[in-house]
Amino acid sequence: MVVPSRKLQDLIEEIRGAKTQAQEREVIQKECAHIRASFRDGDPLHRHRQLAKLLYVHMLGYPAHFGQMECLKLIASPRFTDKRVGYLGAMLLLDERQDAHLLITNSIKNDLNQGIQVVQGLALCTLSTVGSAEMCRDLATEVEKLLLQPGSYVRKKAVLTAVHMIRKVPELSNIFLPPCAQLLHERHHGILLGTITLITELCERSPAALKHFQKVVPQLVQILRTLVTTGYSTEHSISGVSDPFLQVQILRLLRILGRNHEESSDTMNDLLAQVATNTDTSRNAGNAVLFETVLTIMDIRSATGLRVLAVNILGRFLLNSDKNIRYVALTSLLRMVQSDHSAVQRHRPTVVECLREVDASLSRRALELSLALVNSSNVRAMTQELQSFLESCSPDLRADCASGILLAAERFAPTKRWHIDTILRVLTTAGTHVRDDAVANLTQLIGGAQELHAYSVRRLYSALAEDISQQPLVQVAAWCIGEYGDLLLEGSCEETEPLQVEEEDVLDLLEKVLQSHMSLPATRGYALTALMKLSTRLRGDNNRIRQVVSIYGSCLDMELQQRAVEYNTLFRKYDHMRAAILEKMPLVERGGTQDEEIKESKEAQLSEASLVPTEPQASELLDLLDLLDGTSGAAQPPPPLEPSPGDVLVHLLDLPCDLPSASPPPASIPNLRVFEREGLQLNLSFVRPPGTPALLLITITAINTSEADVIHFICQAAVPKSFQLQLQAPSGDTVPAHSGLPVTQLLRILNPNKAPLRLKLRLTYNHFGQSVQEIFEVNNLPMETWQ
Amino acid sequence: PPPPPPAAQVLITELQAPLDITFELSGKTLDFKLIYRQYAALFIVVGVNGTENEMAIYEFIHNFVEVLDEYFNRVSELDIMFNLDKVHIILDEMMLNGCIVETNRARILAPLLILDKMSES
Repeated sequence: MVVPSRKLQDLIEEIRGAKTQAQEREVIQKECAHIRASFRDGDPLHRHRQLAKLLYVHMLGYPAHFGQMECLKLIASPRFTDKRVGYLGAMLLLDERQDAHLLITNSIKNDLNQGIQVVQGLALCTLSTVGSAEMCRDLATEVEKLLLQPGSYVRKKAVLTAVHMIRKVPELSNIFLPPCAQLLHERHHGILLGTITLITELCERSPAALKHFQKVVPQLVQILRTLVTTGYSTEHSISGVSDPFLQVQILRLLRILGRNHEESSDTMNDLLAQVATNTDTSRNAGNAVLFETVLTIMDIRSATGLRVLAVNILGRFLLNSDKNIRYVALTSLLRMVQSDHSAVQRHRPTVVECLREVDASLSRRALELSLALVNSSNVRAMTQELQSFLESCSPDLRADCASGILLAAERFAPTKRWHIDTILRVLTTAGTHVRDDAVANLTQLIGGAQELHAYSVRRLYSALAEDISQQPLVQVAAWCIGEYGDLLLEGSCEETEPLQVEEEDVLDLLEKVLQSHMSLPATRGYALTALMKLSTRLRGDNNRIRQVVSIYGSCLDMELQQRAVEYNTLFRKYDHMRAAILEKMPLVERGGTQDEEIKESKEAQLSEASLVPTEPQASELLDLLDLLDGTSGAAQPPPPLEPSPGDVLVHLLDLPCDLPSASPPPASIPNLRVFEREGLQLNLSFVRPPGTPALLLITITAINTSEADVIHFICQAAVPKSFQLQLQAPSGDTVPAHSGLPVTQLLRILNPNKAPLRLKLRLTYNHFGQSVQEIFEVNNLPMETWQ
Repeated sequence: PPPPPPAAQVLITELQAPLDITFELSGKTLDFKLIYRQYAALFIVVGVNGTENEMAIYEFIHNFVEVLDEYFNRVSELDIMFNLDKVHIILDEMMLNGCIVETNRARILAPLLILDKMSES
């Protein structure tokens, strides 16, 4: 039974008629079932309609993967309507991850070769959207042919398909580079647009192409000039500007070509100035072109006059009534503030005006820019503005604004008092939003400014008396009152209004902080400690303080309880020490101790690492650590084992057996690397014990840095007849991988005639499953070994 | 890998968004900007990467709407919904894989008008 399929329109109507999500899903599922059945039956007449419905459903977000094979069938059909829907389906449903996409390569190839323009256009469109690397490689020649044939409709599409191909397969740039020069001469704007995009893509990918195209800068300049200076042309003008899209593309290409290239930049200078001045800015199209011009000027090596012009254009944008233009201007100015600081400074008043924007993203950008513009000359005025902004801005910007102000104050504060005032004001306005280290910074700052102690404590006291909810402020105020309470009580301070504070008031305030439910546990800790310090600073008796402290001895908060108990003990048992303990604190070094600790740990790591290689440079660090007693550079030879069988010469045993580890050798002979193969390294280190001039001790160290162990490792040595050699047993016969414990072996060589030493070594071992035998003579033996 | 070119258009009926958005796409954060224009109840949104000129894209959106306007005679949201395939054709004429091809109204609509005439007869 064939159910007559519905038209797309009807389906859309029904879907839109559904009142609930569930109803819509039901309709769609029913329809999808029909579509699936129809695909199975293979009805060629209505296939395109079914696929069109499927694509609509896909747009709404429902799964549509079962339509992929149908796309292929439709593409292969000769009817245009089928092809149209098939290609559209391919673009929407297929991508590189599906296997089906390769199957359309052949259809695309056929369609590209037959002469019907619309069909060729379709094929190119699909190819440029979903073409994978293999497809691009296969079809490159077809696209190139289409690039060069006369019809403009297909050509403009072919050029952009080339762009996609180059993105996928960079090697194809070689094919598409030569036609560009000819394409630039075209008058058709569509082709020009595509060509410029193609050249931009080529230049972005390869420096060689960049060099090649720098030669066409004059030509580009000419094209742009004609665009700007010709009057109104009906074909391309958009709100009075002739083809702004092409202008923008050309400007972007000029930017890439002129970057870091003096010559091209010079050629462009005049043109850029002309574009900047001639473009009509009453409508958005003109502004778009102007914006691109500004970006180009900033990026190439332009004259300073031109750069100032660019910044001024941006400044003018800031005054524009259109929000988008202001937004774009603020973002660009932010990018430029580092490089052209003074030019941007001139627009500071306008930027500050923008702080008052209603739109949140605009005011955020304005805030960032204002913070970047603060310098030592304008810091007072700017901070004033920023603080009024802080009072009125939205909560999410408060944190950034507060930390920005604090940072700026730290860098540019003209006086300490101003600095303290500023921080104080920030804390009172936006106390809850400041960063955690603001408290520490402020206490350190106040602590360091001795002359301002009285002033600070008074200001903080007044602020605290008004409002105890802002935690950072309360913490700093409590600390100050604790430290400098005596200054608070004694008489007046010239810099603030006379404030008569009684002891009782101070204690009242601190108790209020302790009891308030708004205070964090940390704040309570500050207040308690402050109370304690006041017990030595105040002249009255301490009964009240003792009372409070003993109450908190049974507080539920662990930290507070511990403090209270300790302070209580201080009152009762150690009263004689109280004054000394609660003295004024010395100035805390900010961050210094942390840095030193890091340095020390690094040094320790360095010296530990250098124990493994046996190089003389490690000697200084080794001395520091004093782990090895006295060796400088020479590896620890193993204590002599039982003498190897055979070859025991009598007079060797007569020699005083001086273990080198007991006494440092007089002069260290540099180590010698004699062998390296596939990660196995053999080093020789030499020792001439001072008491025995004819004796040379060589320690052979075998290290394995490779992945596999070296097993059955045997090392044998031979010397000329005049020498006497004693080879002691090695420490092992397996050299473990990944630079594990090295194998060492001691050689004792007696050289009574002081003849030049020659040494031949023979190694046999198993490495990576293969047995290796190496015989070689050690060259470059240093003279000290035998002299 | 090269940054993705200006993405295809998405027609949606409700959007509240600032001009800058960072997207999470398959676990990676891509820096996308959304540029949108509101026409009565319809929002047209274009996603672009960081290197595009925002104002030019703004202009392009308007150009697109003007083309639709000419074809559908005072286009409305329903026109777009019921003629989705035609809208796709127009979009494909104007933009190829994210690059602008043609902005001249007459040239964009020419093939479509021919097709219409052929299917009528």
